[in-house]
Amino acid sequence: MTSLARPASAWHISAWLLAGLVSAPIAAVALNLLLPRGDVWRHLADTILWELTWNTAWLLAGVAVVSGTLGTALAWLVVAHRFPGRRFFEWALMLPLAIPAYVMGFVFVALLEYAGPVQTTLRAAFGETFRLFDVRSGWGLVGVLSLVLYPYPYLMARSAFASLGSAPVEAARGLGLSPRQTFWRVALPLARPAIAVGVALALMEALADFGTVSLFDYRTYTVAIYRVWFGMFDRVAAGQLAVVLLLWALALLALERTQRGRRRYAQAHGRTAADVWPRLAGTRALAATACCTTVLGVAFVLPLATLGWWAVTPGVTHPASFRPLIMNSVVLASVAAVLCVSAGLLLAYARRRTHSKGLRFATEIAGLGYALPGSVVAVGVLAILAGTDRALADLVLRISGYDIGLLATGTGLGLLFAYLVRFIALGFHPTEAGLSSIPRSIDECAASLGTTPGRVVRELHLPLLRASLAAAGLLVFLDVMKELPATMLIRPMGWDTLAIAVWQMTSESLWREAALPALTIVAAGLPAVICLTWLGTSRRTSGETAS
Amino acid sequence: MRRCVVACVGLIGAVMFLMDSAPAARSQEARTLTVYSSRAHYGAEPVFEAFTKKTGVDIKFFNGNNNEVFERLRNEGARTSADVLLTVDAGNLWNAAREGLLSPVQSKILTANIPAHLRDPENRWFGLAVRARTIMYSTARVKPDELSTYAALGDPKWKGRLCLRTSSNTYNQSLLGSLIKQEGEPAVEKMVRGWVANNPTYINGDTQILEAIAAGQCDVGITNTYYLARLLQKTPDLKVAPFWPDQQGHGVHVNVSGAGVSAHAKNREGAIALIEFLSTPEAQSTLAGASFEYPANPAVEPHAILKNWGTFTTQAVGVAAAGEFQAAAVKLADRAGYR
Amino acid sequence: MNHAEGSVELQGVVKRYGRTVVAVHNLSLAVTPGEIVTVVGPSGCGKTTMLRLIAGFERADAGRISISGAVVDGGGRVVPPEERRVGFVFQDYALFPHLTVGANVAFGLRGVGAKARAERVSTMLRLCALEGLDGRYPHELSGGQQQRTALARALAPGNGVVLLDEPLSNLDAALRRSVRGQLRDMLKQAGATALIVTHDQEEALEIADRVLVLQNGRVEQIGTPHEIYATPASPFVARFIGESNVVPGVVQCDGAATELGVVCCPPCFKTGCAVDVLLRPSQLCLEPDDCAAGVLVTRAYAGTHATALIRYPSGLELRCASDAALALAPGTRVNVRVQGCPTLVVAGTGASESASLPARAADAVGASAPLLPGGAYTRV
Repeated sequence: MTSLARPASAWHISAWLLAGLVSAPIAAVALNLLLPRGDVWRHLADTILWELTWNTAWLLAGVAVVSGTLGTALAWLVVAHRFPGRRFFEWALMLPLAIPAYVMGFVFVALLEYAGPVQTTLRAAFGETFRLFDVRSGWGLVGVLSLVLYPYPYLMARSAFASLGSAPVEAARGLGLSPRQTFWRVALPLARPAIAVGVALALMEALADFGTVSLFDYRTYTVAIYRVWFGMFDRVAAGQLAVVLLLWALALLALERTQRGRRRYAQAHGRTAADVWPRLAGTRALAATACCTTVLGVAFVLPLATLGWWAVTPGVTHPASFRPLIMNSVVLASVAAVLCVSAGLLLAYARRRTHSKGLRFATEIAGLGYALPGSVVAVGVLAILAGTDRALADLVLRISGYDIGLLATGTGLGLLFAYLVRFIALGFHPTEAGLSSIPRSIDECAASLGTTPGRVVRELHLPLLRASLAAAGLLVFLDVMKELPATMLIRPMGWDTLAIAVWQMTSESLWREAALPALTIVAAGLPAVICLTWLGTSRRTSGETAS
Repeated sequence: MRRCVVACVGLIGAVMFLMDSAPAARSQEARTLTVYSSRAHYGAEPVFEAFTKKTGVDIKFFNGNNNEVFERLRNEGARTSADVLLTVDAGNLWNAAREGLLSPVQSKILTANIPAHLRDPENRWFGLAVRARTIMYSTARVKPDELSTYAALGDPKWKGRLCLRTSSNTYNQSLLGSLIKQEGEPAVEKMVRGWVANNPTYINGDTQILEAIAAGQCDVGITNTYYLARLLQKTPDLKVAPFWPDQQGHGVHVNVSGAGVSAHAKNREGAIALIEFLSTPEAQSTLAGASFEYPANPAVEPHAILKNWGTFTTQAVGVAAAGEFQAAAVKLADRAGYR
Repeated sequence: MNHAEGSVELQGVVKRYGRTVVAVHNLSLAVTPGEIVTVVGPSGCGKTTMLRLIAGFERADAGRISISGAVVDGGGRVVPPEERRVGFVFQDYALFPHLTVGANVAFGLRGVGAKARAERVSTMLRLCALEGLDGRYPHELSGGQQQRTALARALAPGNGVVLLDEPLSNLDAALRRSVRGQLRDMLKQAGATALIVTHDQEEALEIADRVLVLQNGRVEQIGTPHEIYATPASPFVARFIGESNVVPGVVQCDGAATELGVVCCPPCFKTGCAVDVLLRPSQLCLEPDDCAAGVLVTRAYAGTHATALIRYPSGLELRCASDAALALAPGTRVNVRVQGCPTLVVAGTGASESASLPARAADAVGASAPLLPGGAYTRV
């Protein structure tokens, strides 16, 4: 505990303000709890509540296990072993992040459903009664979501394994541990906090997902929220259900914190874990390459190829002009990325420098927008924006007689605010993980050398945080590119994005028409993915901690 | 840190500067019309371009899902820039009217062109294009005389042969809502339980249901007519046909895509003019023809494919019933175990 | 009161963690400019806390801390660490991993031109035997080089005071021994006042001008290495610094009667008082004697001398230093003689509180004041 934190400093105040601002829409949703909706809850309890709970829990468990295992295993494979294509796969395995989950969903459903090409061919070969598994099931959903979300645990695990350096691994080898034993007994425990963060992010996305989940007719809490909201026309009860979802998210975060353990900082020396054991050879090398190729093939190449095939199929109509859509998407995503990362950095600093439990709790709450379905967050944001707008306009009207109209609602500012509320968690968690891996002794040392706090941040922290900030920025960029419900609700007129174009097609079941805009989303996200992973994997001679 | 903050503020300022803001739009009130629409399309449908050509009024669209458009309109309140609300479901229109987002329109043209059961009893919204939600069957494996009513799909002979959308789908909710008004909750609940007992395959897309029927995954399903029409236009020899259930009884369930004038419309005359235009025969055939819907104006002939299917009786209850009983329908579905 | 540049003074400093843990209890200390003081004590005795209080990383709950005559903590006023001009060398060195050695060392140099800075850096590198390494990165350095870089960085700004927290504990034993002397030389050459925390008492004695022994946040003793070693003020100090034997005895008119015979005893002890005699192995002399009561149990050869373990029938075990050349087999009967006058403490006073022990170092201000009434008693 240091006294480097000064009470009521600028840090504290801005952090509280930010946390408050970002939590306001969530609070607006939670306020629904105050209104009685006993009859709806009784109805739910009598009918589907248990199913919802079970489904949601099962989905989360499934995605956690599959994406966590996949991500961690691939990360270890790529960090600790040398095999042909390793450098390529190290960054390429991140690529599925560029594909929206619902796109992945409808691609796989279209491919694997009864009427789809796979089953049709199989039936032609094996007879009409041949039945494959039903892709529209819980298992199918877990599979698709895991393919989309494994990059989160993969990213965090890879950074953690890479920052181990070679020392612990060499020590293990010296003690006679095989690579597998080293993984289980040395690498995994050390990387566990980072993996927990990755899995938590993936699960929050799964929790909030509506598009993919409803595609598979799988009923989670999120689906129930929409059902109550727009089926039963009951906004308040929907808000109350959203609070339950928030509790799930809080439980997730608490679970993730238990995995934190004590933060270990490490310095990546020149040698990495991969240099410890001999290069893989023969069948093992082949198996490693095959493994990575399969995952990448299924999670990225296959969907892309399918989309490409659909896009060039004759008879498919396309929107007149893609350029404005691309511009809008990229501009919004870029600005949102900068905004969310800056805000996340501010919160991460506040957390680092304060002892106040209140502020720490507030930073957690601020990140909850990520676990809520986009529509819920959007409506909360809209309510706040509209309310403030109305109040402001009324005031100005009363004073000057001039009606300024709506300032924030239906403008870019409102939309950016919605993105901030929704995605600040992505700006916060990787940054906080990176920041907490910078030991406090560095801060104290700098203080003893007479360095002002500002200089500490500029010259010491930011260089060391570069990879974390890049990771955070990229995650936000990709998510905003793919974002649909908040964009649909709050965007200014004439600001359609690629995701809106995809929705326009899929809402009319025109999946093939959705292919081209979907491909464009992926294409626009690719440079960002490559950029990020380059920043994360580049071997720097300065020995800077990797993420 | 300071540089970071300055950069961010600069960026946000730049973005705001670039954004369209409402006051600018309103300065040309008489010449523009703002339509909040949940009819999914990119670019204007030809019928709207025709309106612009005829009247010189420019139309700006805000597209979204039924739900998002509704929430946006509701939250904007009195300062909304919407003049017209255009949706694809009567339930939605009913809800919007109930929340006071639409204002009544007294228009002889509309009253004449749009039948009473396709518009709001209080004239707050008007159906413009009709779609029937009916039983679709595989012509290869099912004979029409095996089908009769919606409820008959609960007959055990259809076990494992039925494809349905989930009860979360708006169209199904409207279907059930109308049926509840018509026949009462107990009867509808019995019907739904029958469906559920037949172990239906849940497929979340009308087009996908039709493809599944064609491929043999199931033999019957319930979808909207325009999806089949669209498929038939692409593949005319598709072996799926519509069946009009309950012709001796209450008739087929229909829903509308309709419009209403926003309660806080800045260009009210333009809004009314647009809706009236959309109800005229030329506009109707363009509008409904392009999207394979039935025109609301009874004087207009539907698309050839639809004509081929023949005429049918429809429910006597107004389409407004869909909205009125939607909440009840959802709760009923929960009770009956209809996913 | 010493107001010279580079002096450090603590008066009645208290630091609590939570409600129950008192890390530093009423600590008072005065360090003269240019002095090297090592701080030793068992884990948790508050030595690191004391250092952090002086550096400003912690804030004292009571008392006053002054550096170079100016109050930095106390009387409601606290100066942040950036403004205290106190260098700090961390146990993990805390080198900035993304900066070269040269950049690390130059980091604290503010307000000087580039040329002056480069000169200062090369001076420090020369002082700390790091010539030619200024382009390397921390992970490319050996442990010893990293430690010297951390020291160079702390000394570079020309601060009068440098605090070192277990600076050598991350080095292997051989390196530690060779670096010890260098460390002292570097600090003396730089002219800095240094407080060095260490748990290695050999190191503490070798480097320091004065040694401060802490236990449970209190000062057990402060004095020159010789004083600490030869005249420990309490059994704790005696046991903590170097090896020590404790032999019970009773005060008689001519001295204290113990199993080893009569040892000289200061007059302040009343006759009949039970005392513990603290004997260093080097104060004991072995003689083989067939009629003696003590039996040699084991003998550990250490090159320059041997340490023998003698057991008495009463159960008393003594460690004595003996001539390496003298060959004594286990089982030999030996006589142990006490050389000189050892330290005595009242019997039953444990390692902690001894209210009966007069003139604790806590009350002493300034350098080596007499510790036990009547002046120093022992000579070796």
